[in-house]
Amino acid sequence: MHRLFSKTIFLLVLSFAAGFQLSPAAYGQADLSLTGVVISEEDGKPVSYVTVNIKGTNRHTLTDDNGKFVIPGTIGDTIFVSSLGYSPVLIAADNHNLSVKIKPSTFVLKELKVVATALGIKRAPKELGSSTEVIRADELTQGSPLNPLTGLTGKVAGLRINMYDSKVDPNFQITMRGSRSITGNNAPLYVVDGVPVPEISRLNPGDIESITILKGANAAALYGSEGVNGALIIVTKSGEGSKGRVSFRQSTSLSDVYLLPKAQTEFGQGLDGIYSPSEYQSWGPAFDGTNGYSARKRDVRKELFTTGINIQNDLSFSKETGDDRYYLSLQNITVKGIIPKDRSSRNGARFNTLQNIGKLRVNSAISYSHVNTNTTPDGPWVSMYKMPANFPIEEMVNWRDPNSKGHPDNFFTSVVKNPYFLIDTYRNESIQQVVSGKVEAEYPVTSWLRVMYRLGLYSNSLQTRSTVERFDSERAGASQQGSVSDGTSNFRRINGDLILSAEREFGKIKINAIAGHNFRDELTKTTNIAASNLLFPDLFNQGSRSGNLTGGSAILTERQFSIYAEVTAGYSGYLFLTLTGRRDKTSLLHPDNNTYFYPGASASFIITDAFPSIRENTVTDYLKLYTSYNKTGNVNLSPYSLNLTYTQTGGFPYGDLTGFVPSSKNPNPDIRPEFVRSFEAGVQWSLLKRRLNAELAYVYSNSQGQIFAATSSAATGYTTSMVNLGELENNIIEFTIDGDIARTRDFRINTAFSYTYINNVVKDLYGSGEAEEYNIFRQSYAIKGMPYPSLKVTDYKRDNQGRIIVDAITGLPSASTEPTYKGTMVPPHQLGFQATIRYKGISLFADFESRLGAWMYSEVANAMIQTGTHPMTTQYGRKEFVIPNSVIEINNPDGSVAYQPNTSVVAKGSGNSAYWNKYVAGYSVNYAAPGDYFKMRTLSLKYTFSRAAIANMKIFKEVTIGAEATNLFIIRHKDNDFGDPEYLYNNTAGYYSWRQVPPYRTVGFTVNIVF
Amino acid sequence: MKINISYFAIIIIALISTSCEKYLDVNKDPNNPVEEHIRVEQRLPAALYYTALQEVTQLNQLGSFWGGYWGTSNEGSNSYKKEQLYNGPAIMAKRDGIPIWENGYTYLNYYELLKADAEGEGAPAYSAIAMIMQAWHYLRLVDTYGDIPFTQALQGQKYPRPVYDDGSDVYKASIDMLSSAIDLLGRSPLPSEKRPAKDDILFNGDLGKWIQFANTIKLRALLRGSEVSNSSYIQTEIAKIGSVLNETAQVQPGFNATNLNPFWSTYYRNSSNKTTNGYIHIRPTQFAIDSYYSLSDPRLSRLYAKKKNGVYKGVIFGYEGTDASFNKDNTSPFFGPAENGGKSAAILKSQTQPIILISAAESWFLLAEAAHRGWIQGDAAEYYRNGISASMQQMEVSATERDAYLAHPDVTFNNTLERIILQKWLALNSISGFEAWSDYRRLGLPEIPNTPGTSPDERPRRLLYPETEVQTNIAEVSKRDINNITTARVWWDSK
Repeated sequence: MHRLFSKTIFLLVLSFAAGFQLSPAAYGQADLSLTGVVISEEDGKPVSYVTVNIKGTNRHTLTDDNGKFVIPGTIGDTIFVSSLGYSPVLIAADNHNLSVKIKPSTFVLKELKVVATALGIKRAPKELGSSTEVIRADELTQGSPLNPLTGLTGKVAGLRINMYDSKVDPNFQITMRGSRSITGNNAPLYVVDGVPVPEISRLNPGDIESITILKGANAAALYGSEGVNGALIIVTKSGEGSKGRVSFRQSTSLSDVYLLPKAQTEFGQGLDGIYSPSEYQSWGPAFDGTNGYSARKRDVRKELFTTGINIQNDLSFSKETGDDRYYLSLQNITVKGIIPKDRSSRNGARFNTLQNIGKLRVNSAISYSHVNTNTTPDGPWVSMYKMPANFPIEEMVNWRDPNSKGHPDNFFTSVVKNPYFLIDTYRNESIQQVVSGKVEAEYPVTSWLRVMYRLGLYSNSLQTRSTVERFDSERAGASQQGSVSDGTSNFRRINGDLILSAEREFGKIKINAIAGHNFRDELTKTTNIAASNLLFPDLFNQGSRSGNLTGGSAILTERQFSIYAEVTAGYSGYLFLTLTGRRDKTSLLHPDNNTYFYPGASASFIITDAFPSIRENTVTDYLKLYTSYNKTGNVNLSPYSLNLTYTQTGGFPYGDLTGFVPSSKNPNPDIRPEFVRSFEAGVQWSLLKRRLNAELAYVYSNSQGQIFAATSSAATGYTTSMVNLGELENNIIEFTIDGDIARTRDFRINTAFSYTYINNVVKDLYGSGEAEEYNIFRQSYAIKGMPYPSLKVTDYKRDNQGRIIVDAITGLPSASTEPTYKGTMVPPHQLGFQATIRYKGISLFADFESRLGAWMYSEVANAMIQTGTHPMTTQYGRKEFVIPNSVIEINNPDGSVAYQPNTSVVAKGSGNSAYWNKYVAGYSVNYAAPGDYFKMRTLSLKYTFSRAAIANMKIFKEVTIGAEATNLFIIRHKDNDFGDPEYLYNNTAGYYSWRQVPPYRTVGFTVNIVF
Repeated sequence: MKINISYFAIIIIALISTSCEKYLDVNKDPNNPVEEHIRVEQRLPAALYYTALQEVTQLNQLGSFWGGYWGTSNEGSNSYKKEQLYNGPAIMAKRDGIPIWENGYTYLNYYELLKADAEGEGAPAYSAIAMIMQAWHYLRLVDTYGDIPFTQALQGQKYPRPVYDDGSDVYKASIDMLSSAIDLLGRSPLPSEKRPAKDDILFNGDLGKWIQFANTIKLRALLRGSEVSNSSYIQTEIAKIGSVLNETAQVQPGFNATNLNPFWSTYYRNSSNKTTNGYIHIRPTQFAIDSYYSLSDPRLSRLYAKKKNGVYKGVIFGYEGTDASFNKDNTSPFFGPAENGGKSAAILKSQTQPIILISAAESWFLLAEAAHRGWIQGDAAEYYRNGISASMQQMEVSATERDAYLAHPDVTFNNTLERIILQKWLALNSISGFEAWSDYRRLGLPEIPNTPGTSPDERPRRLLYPETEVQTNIAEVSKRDINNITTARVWWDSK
């Protein structure tokens, strides 16, 4: 498959080279373009700035001031003409000079299917009482993302996406409109073609027609609790409007590591300034070049990383015949990671159909993806952070050669391992297969009542294998036990919805009503079998072991029943009121309190429709006010969390002697659902013939009675306790504006800007007002009255001016009992900026993002200070120094205490590693910094060949080539030389760990051909 | 058609409402047992194992460093930096710290739940054992941290932030708990009572030995208060003590080729019989070597291997330089069966050896000290000799060698506390390191040299309250403004 693709590409590239020569001359030939004029049916006047699109392609243009347009196309193409405030029109091009009449939209703009709201029921945006945004296929696939989330990053106000790892299969954290949950689950709900699914990382971005982002909690009424964080309503391609289309896309990109934390290059291996060839730490003498004792020219750590390669091939077929539609796509991705030998491949397929059998409309979708990964765990780069700047890394690669310096018998230290040894002997493999699909049947019972049943399936089967190669050595500490661990994890979710929907008009009032019943059934089964002492280096099977076999299995079942309803009343097409309600019954809670109800209400008012004179007499084209209120219940709990469970650990059972210990988590059988109340109000405004569109929204949310495992004093007998406590409040302002700076027939500059301000505060933690804070993970805290999560760092004892108090004799500082507060770890200010410049077939897209106001800290720096590789350790030339801004405590005769600046007492031993270990590395204040950044995420340049240019090669309908780059530059706060502030660890924002593969940037090329 | 649909809807709704309760009743854990499954005999072995594990790894290791037995080879100096630098903040850290507090209270909770279960099952012997072991842990926690939660401890969410009790009060309460347990065990059991058997991996169900064990712990606890002026209390309580244990209390769950004795697998060899990092990194201090050597102590050759040039060579605890004479290959590692023709050595006997909680030798030395102070009847010299003999026997020394040693003029009892504590120190090497550190804090004996990097009177006296406690119970922690492990002291540490 892959070879075939490559061959095709090669041929195609050759043909382009030929085709490109012809294009300038051929461009603009009349028979290859369609021209026309768009006229308003109402007054017969031409309408400018109307979007004209050849259906089934991404070719589009705008009408000029005289309503005229020219677009590459031919007779037989279907033309889609749309503009806000007008009903869109689809016409078949029967000649080269078209006249299209459009009429102002009157009642329901349902043809404008921009918004696919809950349950796939399409709604005009004006009916919605909360903020929504739509990201279309072409915006999403700028930069050729492998994962839809990458494509969304920075494009939606209020949606924060962090790609926080650079593995071949990276991880993401997604937060919509700030934190509502102390447990950190603030990701929106994903709904693919009407079916809620747990994750979308395996969804092919090329299959996506549009993603509608419902930012409010409104979606929860119809999809359940997970919608409390908003929802991404994803609609996949259906083949609509396609006469039979084959599309092929190929993109290749190269990635390279960047933003490694800085390392010093002045001092080499040794201790206390004395060179030691067997020491890995960089506490030796300064590099002097004698006998080759010098830092290497290139950052030695970078040499561990290689250039990653991503190759992505997509092929899709689509067709519409009558009312029936088909869409089929195939995808193949090969990824070579930036860590040597890391690799991944993915093959996927999707088949969507829509069929009409009499009045019954049957919609089905099935997708399959198969993902292989083969990676090494974090050992190699954890090693590299510690290596001295004179580490001869290239001599370590062929470590299996007994004469190699990298061979464990010869490696210069036995404390830190050769990174190549780790790469070769530690492997993690996984095979993941995701099947998801749905069948949906809809039947119109009467002209106003429809009944629909939708059954959705999501299944994720994961097989993993971790191996460690046995290595025997006579050298103490160089041997390694061989081990193998095989695991499987099978998850499946079945989701069924029965929906009755009614639509009736009573004079000026129009009612839309939905009533539904939902069941959800989730089953997870995991098994694991492992042996930790294998006999043969080259045989990874549990059968060839000594000692015990370990492993186990677990089954988790979770079920839920719900009923729900939604009623929307519209008055004269400009005033809308929606009421929603849902009642859930879950298996997770005690039967006495497992049922909970949550209601919602929203309203919208289209001023320009209520008072058309505004539209006619001012520059305003569209003005909408909206508001909503929702209360949403959620049970954030895993199955079987109500009872204290016991396990056998510590080697038990020993023969027939059993020994059980209780969990260290204190359960709580009376746990109840948590509730989030949210309020939203906003305004949408379009003006200057839709050249400028703006939206401003204010959002308030308050979550109470949160379910979480709070860290508790170990003296309670448990290290964590399940509680129903805590209150988080968010006040959020979102502002987006986009506009065409220049707009002519051939030339367009469009810019979009979004800004989100999130003021998040922990209102309460333990209800009774006793505890003011609780620790989440490492330095991350929830503190009453402060944003969640906040950074508190371990610090020195300081006087009231913040100066470090040192001992009068030793000059050494001491530890403060309480950590010092720094600030929020989630950026309160998030800015996005996109610019698109189009000239004829060329389009240039740039995407910037900035996040400000948050703090971060780095565990990498900690390890680097300890080993003396961090530049901080050389700032005093490895000599004893007076701690800057330090004071000495003076006891006055009257018993009071004063602090005198210390200018002379040098910190004892501060030239040596012991000082840096004890008095610097241990204090996280030394590696905390503001996490502000401004980043260019994507830059892409595309050229769509004119029809004339490709006319010679008759088989093509459309050809686009492009180049794209990601992460071209980042500007960080001056104090942050630790890493990418976007990276985070263990779901904790603002925490940079050495376990993460450092960030990379990519440069790539894409070819897209439609047949 | 309309009617059909309505019927259909009614049927569906009916089906849903009747089957709903049953359909949702799937929250019974199919994977792990819960309270109702677990019996006392399934709790006790694991609880005892974890107590022993903490003793032989966490506590013994810290005590062996700070009690003068252990240092590290140059190769190992980085692995034990926080101990060598007396780095309080690093030791209290959640991350890479030494969680004696967290483990201690977790294990205390095992006994708390065992006690509750024993009361429910009508098994007072188990209640008594649970109380003895709780006293053990509380005493250890006071010795490590000073003031700790007791009255409000182990009650889950009832006291999410337990108040701290004075260390001396916790000591008294623990001693009372031991007394109650002894009373409970002394009563003749009802025939229906459940009694421990092989699930008692410490004494195999011998309740008489449990009483003696409790007495030994009590004696140890009372002697801790020797240097603070409440000797009348000590004497009253000591008078109540019956017979103490005259054998070694050791835990044997049934170690095997996969699950080795943790001391063995940490400081000697792993399950593939390869030497471990602990074996490469841990070295005796030169002070320890000299102490044995100067008395021609036969235990030296059972404890440590000679270097190539035929001498025993130790290290300096806390040394941070690169002097090659302290490299692993130039210093004496532990001596084990692999170096002894397969035969047992002093502390390394086999990979399945039991874990020692209190050695017979320590019991004798406790008696010797109590007698020397005049707090109990009996001949201090005899107890002293018995202590040495018990240690010699434990460390595989022949009777002939033992007798020669006992006759050494610097060994024979000279009626001083110094000699009792020196011999106790020599006997507890790498077995009960925590006791050596405690004796040093209590008595300043023996005169262990300090690390080269610190001023002479700077010694670790206790640990800082752990970071987890600072994070969850700051009000109590800040009432005791303790930020330096070399200055703040536990209640019985008066010197």
